[in-house]
Amino acid sequence: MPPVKPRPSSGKKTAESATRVVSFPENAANDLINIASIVTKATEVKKAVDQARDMKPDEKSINIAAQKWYDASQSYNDSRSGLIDSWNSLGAYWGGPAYTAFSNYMQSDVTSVCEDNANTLFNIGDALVDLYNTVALEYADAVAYIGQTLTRAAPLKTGASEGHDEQFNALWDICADFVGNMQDRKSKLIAALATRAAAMSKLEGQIKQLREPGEFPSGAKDKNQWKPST
Amino acid sequence: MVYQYGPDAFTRRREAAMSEMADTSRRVQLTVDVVEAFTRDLEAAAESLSLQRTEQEIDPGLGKVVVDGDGVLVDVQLDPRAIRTSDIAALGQRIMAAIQIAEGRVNETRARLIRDVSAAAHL
Repeated sequence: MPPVKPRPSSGKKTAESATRVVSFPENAANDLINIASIVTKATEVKKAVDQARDMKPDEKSINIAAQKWYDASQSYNDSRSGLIDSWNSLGAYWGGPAYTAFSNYMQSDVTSVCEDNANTLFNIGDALVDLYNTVALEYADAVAYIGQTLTRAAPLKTGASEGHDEQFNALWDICADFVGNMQDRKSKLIAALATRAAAMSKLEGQIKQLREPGEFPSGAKDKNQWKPST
Repeated sequence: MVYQYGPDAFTRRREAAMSEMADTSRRVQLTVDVVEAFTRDLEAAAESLSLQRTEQEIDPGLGKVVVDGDGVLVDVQLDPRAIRTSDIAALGQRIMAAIQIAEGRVNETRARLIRDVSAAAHL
């Protein structure tokens, strides 16, 4: 059988060229920290801002990793297609007990191993994509909350800096809410990642079960049992 | 099962996953861009406000006070003829009252500007 050449993936180049480095709203974050300094919350708010920044996803790295799993999965699929073509071709010329044993072996063992292994590898690629989407959307929510907090805090800036109790206290509460919110988001993200880590571990267990096809059937080894097809 | 629909289905599913990932990134970056645009608009509004001067009459027609965009007093203009016929003892209180009104107007303007900028940002 000729070696199976990996098929080029039409999606790969497009997807990789589309990767982008997601940025962080540094100006909004700095404005919020500066406003928080009025109510002596700058350090806490900066720490919370850093937590949001730490959530920033890295699409390029995840994309490269996922593509490698998909590529590996596709190699199995390409092998499977080649094997099926090969044994179908043999069927045009051969029959008899040896060919039947060979055909059964290919159908029940070899191709199913290819399918199982390809599925496992593909699912790992999917798990990485899911991981990226989860982190990215949580990061987007955190970024939006920075903006929302700024809309609430900015109108109080002057009053609070002039020592008006009502504005000062309101600004203090807004900053405290922001700090708590970011901590909650971080905890929620860690919990979500732990769930996905468990799913990845399960897949890892399946990778360990990657296996070679069973032994070539003895009936197919007897050249006298291969009969020309009539 | 990936392959039960054949290689084309496999390729489509892979491309869909990559496309979804790229879409997610675009949505995330859009959020970042919106927040940063809002911040720029907010800073521009504060800058334009700081250049504004707000005048407030000192009742009853004694002159006017002028405050800047931060509500800080920058000028007091008294009408000498009006002062002559007014209660001098109450002049200080009347000037203070005018300053407070002017500060309040500045704060209202600032709050309205921030509300407008926030509403435009759709945060």
